Amino acid sequence: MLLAVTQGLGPVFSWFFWITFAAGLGWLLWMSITGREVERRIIFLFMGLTVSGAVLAGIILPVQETTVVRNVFDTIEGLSEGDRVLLSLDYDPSGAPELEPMAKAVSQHCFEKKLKICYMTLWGTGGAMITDVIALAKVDFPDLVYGDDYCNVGYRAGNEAVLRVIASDFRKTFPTDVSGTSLDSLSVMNGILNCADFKYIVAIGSGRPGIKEWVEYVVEPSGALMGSGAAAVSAPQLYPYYPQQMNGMMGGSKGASEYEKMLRRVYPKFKSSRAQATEIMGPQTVAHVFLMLLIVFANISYFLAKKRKGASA
Amino acid sequence: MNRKVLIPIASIIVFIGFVLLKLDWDGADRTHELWEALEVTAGGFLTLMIFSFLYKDNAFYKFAEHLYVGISAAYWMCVGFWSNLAQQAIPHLSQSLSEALGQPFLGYIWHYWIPVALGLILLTRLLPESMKIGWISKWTLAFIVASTAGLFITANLQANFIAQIASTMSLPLLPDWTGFGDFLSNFDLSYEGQFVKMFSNWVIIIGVISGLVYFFFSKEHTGWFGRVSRLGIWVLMVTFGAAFGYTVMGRVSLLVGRLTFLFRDWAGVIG
Repeated sequence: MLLAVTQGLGPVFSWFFWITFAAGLGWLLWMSITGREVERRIIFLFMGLTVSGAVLAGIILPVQETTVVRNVFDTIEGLSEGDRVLLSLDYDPSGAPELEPMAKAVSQHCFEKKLKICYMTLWGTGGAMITDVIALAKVDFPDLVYGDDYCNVGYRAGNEAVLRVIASDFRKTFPTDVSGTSLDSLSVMNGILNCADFKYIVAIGSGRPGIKEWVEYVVEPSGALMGSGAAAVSAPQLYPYYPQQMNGMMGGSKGASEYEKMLRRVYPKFKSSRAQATEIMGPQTVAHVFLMLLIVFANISYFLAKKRKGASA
Repeated sequence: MNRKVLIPIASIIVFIGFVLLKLDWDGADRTHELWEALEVTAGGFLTLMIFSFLYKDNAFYKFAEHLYVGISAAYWMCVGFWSNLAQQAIPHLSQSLSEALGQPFLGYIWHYWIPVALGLILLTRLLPESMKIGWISKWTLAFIVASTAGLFITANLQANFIAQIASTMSLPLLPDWTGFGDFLSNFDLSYEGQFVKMFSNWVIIIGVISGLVYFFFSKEHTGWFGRVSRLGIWVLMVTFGAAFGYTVMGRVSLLVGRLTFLFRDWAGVIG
């Protein structure tokens, strides 16, 4: 199957790459069986080659949809034209490969449904992330009007304190948008007094302050409806909040790729748009298989060493 | 020529060479093209410099690391000034200063002087020790610690304690149960199926109880109590394993992101 999808680079390169790689794996297995140590830099090299090969080959693997992601999609799908959505992008450039595809897909979905988005961030580095996501969404929606279709209130320092205040009074912390324009003059924000006035909140984050803080300081006291997109590292700690305190969650690249798949299934026009998370999942799977092989090799080495020690004692 | 001079000069020449290779000579907007080529090439070089640490610590890695720390500090200082002082404090304290900073004046509120004063007090740590005034910064620190603790306690109790216990206790042991006959005739192993829902709920309940038993040290972990505690360890190990798997996924995603940048944006090998 891998060979079938590596046609883009030419069959010679594909065959050469995968044969060399298989030979390397065989060598690693041989080193494990004979009980010899493999230097960590060789492991790094193999991991680099594995992921590089998969990226260059453009491996795309099928993605299985799950309920936890579908709930976010269905909630947005169920909103009516003109409803307001709050999208908080609480991450920095290091989290962008995982989280930007989510933010882009949710934005595309909202704009396609003619929902109005208010972007904000709890991270000082999040401002640039918002700009990037808006630029990506505008590729498919070039006629979006700032103030009418979306707005960007940017960043305010204060972490949890910001959330505590906007849960009851949005304008107290964000009297203006990112460029100093009063929120009262933006039609997107008409009638929005606090977070519960948004039909849906989607918090996309990779750490603190992030999704956990949104649950603690906004969802619990205000009862706002919230979905989320989490970096893979923090996702396991956030599942306990599902489904009572947040109705759905996209966990890492896998969650993002599921959302992209749903978006393309329901709105085929997005098939021409780049599916960033789906592109990641191919190399991701290959890297996981490689890692699992390493764990198997290490265990073989461990048990053989134990056996040899027992025989010599 | 000295090696310490030769290597940086060679690096700069290689960098310029890559920028020139990246330039689109037929582009209409030459300045924009040049900036874009510089940006992408700098990104590619810095990525490789950071990756070089995987081989061993070296001067290129150190350069990239120091550049990153320096830029981060400068960036945060600017963000701190604009988001705290320019956009929040000054618009409530001075009309002329607000206008000078391009911010709308939002009306004078005297108590905005309190955070400004606390901020200035915090800076007394930077004064020479001989002035013996640095201790006053502890007032601000005490305020930060106390207000944070106050905020955390109530929010954590509600979201992470009461709501979690309530959610766990309200889990149905037999979800959507209408009888054994219906259960068998509609048997479904899919994620949405009744069996999987029921199984998940049982796993959560047994997992929570056995996990709590593992951390109960007032009774010796022997007999049935020990067996439940042992199950608790397994639950914890499975949880850590899942978290590790997710962590690997996250790190590989970042690696894929960087490699995609190198191959697509910089080298232009993939479309």
